[in-house]
Amino acid sequence: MSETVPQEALDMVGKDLVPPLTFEVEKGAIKKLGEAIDDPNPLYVDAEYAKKSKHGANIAPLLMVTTLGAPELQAALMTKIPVGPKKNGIVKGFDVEFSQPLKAGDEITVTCKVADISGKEAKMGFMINITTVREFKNQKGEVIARETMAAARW
Amino acid sequence: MAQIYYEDVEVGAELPTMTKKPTTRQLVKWAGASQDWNELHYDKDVAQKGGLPNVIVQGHLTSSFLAQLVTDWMGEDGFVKKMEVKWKQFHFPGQEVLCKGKVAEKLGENTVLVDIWTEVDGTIYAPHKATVVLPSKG
Repeated sequence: MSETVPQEALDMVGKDLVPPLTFEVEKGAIKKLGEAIDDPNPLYVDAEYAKKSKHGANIAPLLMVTTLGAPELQAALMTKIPVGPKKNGIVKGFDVEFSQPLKAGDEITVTCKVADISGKEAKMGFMINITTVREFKNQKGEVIARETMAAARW
Repeated sequence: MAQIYYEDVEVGAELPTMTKKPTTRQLVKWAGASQDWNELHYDKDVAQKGGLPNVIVQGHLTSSFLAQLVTDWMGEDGFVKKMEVKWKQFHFPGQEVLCKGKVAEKLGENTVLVDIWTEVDGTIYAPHKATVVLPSKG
């Protein structure tokens, strides 16, 4: 009989994979991330320059928002989905839709739900594909970004 | 920062290529800044036990290189509406990573679809897409 996705895993669809987490976006953290990319964009580091821009404050490098809660998500993908004795896991990619930039001083609450789980025979054996959706809301309750991530366990 | 306008953009136009040469030091800086402490990115022993020849560049760092390519190109009045991220192969420290892009489609309403990717020795490693809203001259 061919392998199937455990019912306990399928039951997680629609549920939180990680409890909501809140992060304060500090100016110093934006600066460090910009330095790590080696991106000298003054909007990230120069307070006066950013104040005169349309943003009115320092903004963060585009994908910084997706780093918020990412370690917790990756740990949960490996430990919280009951997939049986499958040791390996990989994030295959993600799509992220933005509605406004992440700014210094924002307080971001991240929620993470399991959107889909399915199984497929692959070269490396029976693979369980997991889709998660994360929403990033600012202190005003506005969704500033929405990420759909594709991961696999085998 | 130079500003580009929707009317000036043609399908097939290339974005100015950006070159990155990630180092292990840069990977550690990214780990600290992003709080992604996966040892595969800075501990060679762990990477080699996992069957890799060396530590690997974080996927999010690679994607951030491509985000920089796009945000530099679109100028301060542009806005990235969507980014689609896919990693096909790992990048390693010391590689000369070319970050390239090309306008794939004009979608109307001042919006363009841009194909962006990293490349080493002619091989594409991380094919991404960005949907960008540009200002109009009108």
